[in-house]
Amino acid sequence: MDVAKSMRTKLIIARPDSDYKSLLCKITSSTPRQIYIVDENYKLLGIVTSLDLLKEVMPSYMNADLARSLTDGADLLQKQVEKVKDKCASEIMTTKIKFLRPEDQLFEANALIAETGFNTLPVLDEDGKILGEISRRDIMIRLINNCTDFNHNDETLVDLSLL
Amino acid sequence: MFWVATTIFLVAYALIISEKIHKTKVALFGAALILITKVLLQEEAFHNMELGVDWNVIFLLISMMIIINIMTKTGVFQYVAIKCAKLAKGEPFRLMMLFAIITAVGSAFLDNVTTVLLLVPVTLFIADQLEINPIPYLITEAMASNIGGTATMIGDPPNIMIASKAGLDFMDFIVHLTPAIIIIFLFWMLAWKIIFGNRLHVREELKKRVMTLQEKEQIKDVVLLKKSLVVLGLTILGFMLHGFFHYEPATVALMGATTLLLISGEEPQSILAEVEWPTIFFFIGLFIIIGGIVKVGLVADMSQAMIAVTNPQPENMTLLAMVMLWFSAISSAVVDNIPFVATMNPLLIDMIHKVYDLPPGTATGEHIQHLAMMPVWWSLALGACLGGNGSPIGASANVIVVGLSEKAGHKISFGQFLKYGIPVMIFTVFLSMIYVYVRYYILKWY
Repeated sequence: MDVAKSMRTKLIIARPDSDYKSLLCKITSSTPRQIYIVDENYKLLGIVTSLDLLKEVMPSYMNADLARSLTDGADLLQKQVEKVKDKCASEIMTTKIKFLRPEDQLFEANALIAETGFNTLPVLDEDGKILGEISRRDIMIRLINNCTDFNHNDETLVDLSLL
Repeated sequence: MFWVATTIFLVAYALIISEKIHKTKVALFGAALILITKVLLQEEAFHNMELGVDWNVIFLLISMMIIINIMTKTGVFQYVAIKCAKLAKGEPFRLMMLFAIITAVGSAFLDNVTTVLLLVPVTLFIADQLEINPIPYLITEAMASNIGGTATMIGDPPNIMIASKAGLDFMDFIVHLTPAIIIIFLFWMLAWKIIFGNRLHVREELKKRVMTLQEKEQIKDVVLLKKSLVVLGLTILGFMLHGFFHYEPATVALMGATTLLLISGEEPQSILAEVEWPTIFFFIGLFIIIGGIVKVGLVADMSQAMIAVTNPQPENMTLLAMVMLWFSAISSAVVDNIPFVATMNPLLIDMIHKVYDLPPGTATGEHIQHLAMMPVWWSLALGACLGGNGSPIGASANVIVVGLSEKAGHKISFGQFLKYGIPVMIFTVFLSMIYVYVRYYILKWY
């Protein structure tokens, strides 16, 4: 079971000069949780995750306890969005990247995800060009597919508003 | 041996000042060199009171760090800071004064770095709420931390070291330094009122916003807070009485720290891991290096030079006290005040032997705490602690404040800090000089 067979190849891609607003729109328009920042040859330069985008709109001093003392923090959040809206991807992205090779085993992908706590890992070729990504969910789906006695049930979501 | 020890000492000092290599690495490697070259034997480094590691300082520091680490988990500092902002009703100068007072009081009993680490985020938060520039507030807090830390024996590491070396107790510091610091603080606030009083403005609706903040949300663990306050209170009471009961301060602090650790329910792994071990090992390394230069006679040479310059007499050391005050202040603005005091302590002890004509290693409390000598110890403490305000790298609290401020998007340049730091350093050291001169040489109130 190698990574090339399980990886997803439909990804969100952006250029280093993309601004915060466009990154925010891109990430919310689709299921994947991270944006790959690439050059014109699709060489991976960095990653912007949903966590990176959320952290940007939090002042560096803010923590959950201080936030709790605010009776209404909505305008603070709006003010922060105004402050960072023109920031570009190259200023936000993470450049220390853990990645997989297409020939790596799925077991290695699982170990790396468990070790780093990342949700998704990019798959790169030897020139650093991005080929796809593997997420926790992809690995789990593969586990289910390999075990015929697991019952894959789609009716697992419970709508609490109907209760 | 003389040149081996002197070279190690000078190179270590230069590296510490240059900040090219972390000071703890420098101090520990220097100490290892002192031992491997047999300048100092391991027996002397670990077990000799004169030459080796001052375990009283080490255990006092570790114990206070444990108490503080547990207290920070309660959220009490953030609670007090938000409460103060509401007490100030969002008035910008009143807020600056109240923040300065809580920082100074916090730093007098806890360590300066922890105090500013806890208060800077709240200050940035309140400043954002009031839409004011936080930089004057942050610089004020760094300075208040250095000034407040001077007031007590446990407020700043130089005081802990001086207390241990000179055999001074907690109450000595309360009687001699606390009044000086209260006077200095009041004058400083007066000067700040003139400088900032009319420069800070906040719109009325923003003041109201501060009044809606929920300070109670900051307290995370009421039971732990009560336990911590009781133990801290008893520990401070213990410090006040340690001279009377003939306990070393480290014993009192260790009793407090272990009691709190026992009753807090916190895991020792996490609490002990948060002790600032790099600082502790910096002290250990430094003590061994200094022990080396004491043993080979470099410190004796330095004390001879100081005697030549200041001409101290057995009954009168006025010039020495004055020189000590300014020399310590200027040095501490440039060098970390911990290695500076670590060097000055044995130098003064050596000088006492020469002035009172004592055989080496025979000075007792009678001479070390001689009435003529006491103003010199206080001058060293005042100079070394207040000198820290002189530059952004003069004290750890300044470094932390500048770093946190930059991270929040408010860069404090070196020059910008100096613009406030140098005048405040000169002003506070000048006030200290008047205090020492008037109290000990005119009123003769020892």
